[in-house]
Amino acid sequence: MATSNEIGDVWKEGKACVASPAPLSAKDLQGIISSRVRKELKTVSQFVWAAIVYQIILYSFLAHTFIRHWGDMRIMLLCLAGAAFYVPLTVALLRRVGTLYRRPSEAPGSTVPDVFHKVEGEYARLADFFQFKKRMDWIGVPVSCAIIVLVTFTLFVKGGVEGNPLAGLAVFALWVGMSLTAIHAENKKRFISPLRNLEQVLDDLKNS
Amino acid sequence: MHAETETSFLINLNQNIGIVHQVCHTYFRRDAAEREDVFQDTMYQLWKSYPQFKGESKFSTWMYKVALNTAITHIRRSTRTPRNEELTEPIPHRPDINERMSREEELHLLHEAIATLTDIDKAIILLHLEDQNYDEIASVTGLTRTNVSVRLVRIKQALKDYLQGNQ
Repeated sequence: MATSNEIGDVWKEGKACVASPAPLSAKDLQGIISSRVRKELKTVSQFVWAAIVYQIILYSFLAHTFIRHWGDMRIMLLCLAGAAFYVPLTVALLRRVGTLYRRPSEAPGSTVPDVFHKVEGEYARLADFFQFKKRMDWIGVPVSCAIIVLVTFTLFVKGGVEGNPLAGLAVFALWVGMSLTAIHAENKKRFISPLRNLEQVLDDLKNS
Repeated sequence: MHAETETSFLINLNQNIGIVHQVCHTYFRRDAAEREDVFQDTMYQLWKSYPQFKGESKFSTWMYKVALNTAITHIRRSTRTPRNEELTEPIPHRPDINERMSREEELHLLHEAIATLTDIDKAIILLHLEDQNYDEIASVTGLTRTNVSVRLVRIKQALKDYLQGNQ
């Protein structure tokens, strides 16, 4: 098997030997569609959950502290300020997640793109969201860590942050470090590796 | 999707369903679970995109486009690396140098050779072996006709080298 014709012959003979695949019935198709819709929803919800879990922890913490210390104006204002700062970030994040998971084929009148444009589009959408997420992490993580440290020290440490500036700073640094390490691992899995892979395909297509 | 559109979709789909199996087999040859997953995802993408299919190209060309888009982006967006793929299909016995290869073994070797190509080269050779002309290959991949012809020469040479080195 050394010539192009021989390769073609082997391929065709191989196909002829394989039994024709069974046709799909309307019921089979409906089964596949329902299971894919469920899977797609699960993927999106897992991603949304992973993206906002940190914020849910923060909101729960602030709500709990706010109710528990009802009447203590300083604590209540701190909790409200934290929540007010975070709501726009959560809304922006959820909107971006929606854009990331809205497939281009869902746009009315759109046609199926060729492989080059499909890969290019996937890359652009993922890179755009990753850029946004990185920016949000750089703002949101230090601010949320600061709020948590501030509230915790005010509630449980005598003298608060003002009385224990070094300890406050150390806990803040530790918290930020742990959060950034976890975020980096998650980003690598969900964004950096897939983006690198998509880039390889694009390079292959561009270097023809 | 309206009942009428769904009926025409099923007829067209079943006439060309081998395309999806062929694409899945080419890209996920050794992982039956992943192959089934991509097969189902392709069916879903075809079903979602069908109302936009206006018949500007052949149904088979459109189907190749959707199937290849799904397969390539699935591999590339997957968090799993190809190295993690478990071998769920046994590799047939490779014949001794003096033994004459059967057609089945030759086909297996050809699939092995295709597996060494890049994702885009796999798409090009698959379309070529499935008798798609240069214009159709170009419209599916997004490359120019000239690029397709140049790359096909390179791919065929790479396959020949692999096959000669393994016979």
